[in-house]
Amino acid sequence: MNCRKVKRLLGRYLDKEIEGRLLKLIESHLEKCAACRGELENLAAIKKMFSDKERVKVREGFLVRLKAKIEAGEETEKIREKEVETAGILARRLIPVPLVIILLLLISLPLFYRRASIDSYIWGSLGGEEIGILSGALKAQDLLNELW
Amino acid sequence: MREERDDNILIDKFLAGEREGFEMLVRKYQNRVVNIIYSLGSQIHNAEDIAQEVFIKVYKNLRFFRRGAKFSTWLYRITVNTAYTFLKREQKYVALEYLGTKESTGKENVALDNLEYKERQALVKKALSMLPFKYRTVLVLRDIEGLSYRDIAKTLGCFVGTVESRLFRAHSLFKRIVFSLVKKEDIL
Repeated sequence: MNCRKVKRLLGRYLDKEIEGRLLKLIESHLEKCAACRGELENLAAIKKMFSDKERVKVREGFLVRLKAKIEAGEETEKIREKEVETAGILARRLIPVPLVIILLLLISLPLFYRRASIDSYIWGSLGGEEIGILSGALKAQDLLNELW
Repeated sequence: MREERDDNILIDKFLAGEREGFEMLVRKYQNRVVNIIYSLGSQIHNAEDIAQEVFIKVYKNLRFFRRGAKFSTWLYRITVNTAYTFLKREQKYVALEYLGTKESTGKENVALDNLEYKERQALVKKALSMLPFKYRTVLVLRDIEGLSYRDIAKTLGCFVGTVESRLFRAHSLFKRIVFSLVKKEDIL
């Protein structure tokens, strides 16, 4: 086993997470290799720094404050749910209005279109002479209307 | 194993409508959670706020907790993710000048032994905060909280081999930062 491999395993070796044949190989390498032993010492010193590290604790009343936060959050959620519900009712009431408008538009559009196409069909199918007569008749009718 | 069973009993209690189950879970894990957050680089006064955020997430999502999984692993995952969200704004990166040489002079350990307890604590905190977050996390979970390699892998959602290599890299980076800091302080 070479130094590179042993160095990679030193952490697990110190954590006692290695056993069996691998453990024996590492131990026999450490007996022979001063550099890896030095590395092991350094690592052990670092691990000791961590194990000595002060542990912080929560302040008194942590749970009480947490419960208050949760309850406040639940209240807000309830209010939001209520708002959503109210919005839902309003939406349900208001949705028919635009729906009816859209429906009316959809129905009336083809009617307008049909009328326009009938007019253009009549005017389009008449010849020049007929149009002249028809417009003359219309003018005469306008004159009569004015006289009356 | 027994701890796992106890946690499951408390979860069942909570899901059955008894808030006491949740409260007991909080009491059991509150100090561990706050210590992880503090070790990951949070200031002491913020650590408790982040811990509360963690437990609120647990409270809201406990019904989605997958049985068969370990509660503590699930909780630590939420803790690490929440801490990351809070800390990423003030993320510090390793300044190259701190890394110094890879070679050890052999005097570093003696210098570390000579440090006062408070100095050593400050040194660990500073060096930890200079590590990239992914290395900081494995160091905190393994060397401070004492989680097994398998539990760390489950917490972080990676392979045991990844944990192993991250720890190796984390230790060597941490060592270089500590020794550089010690040298800068003219302790050697």
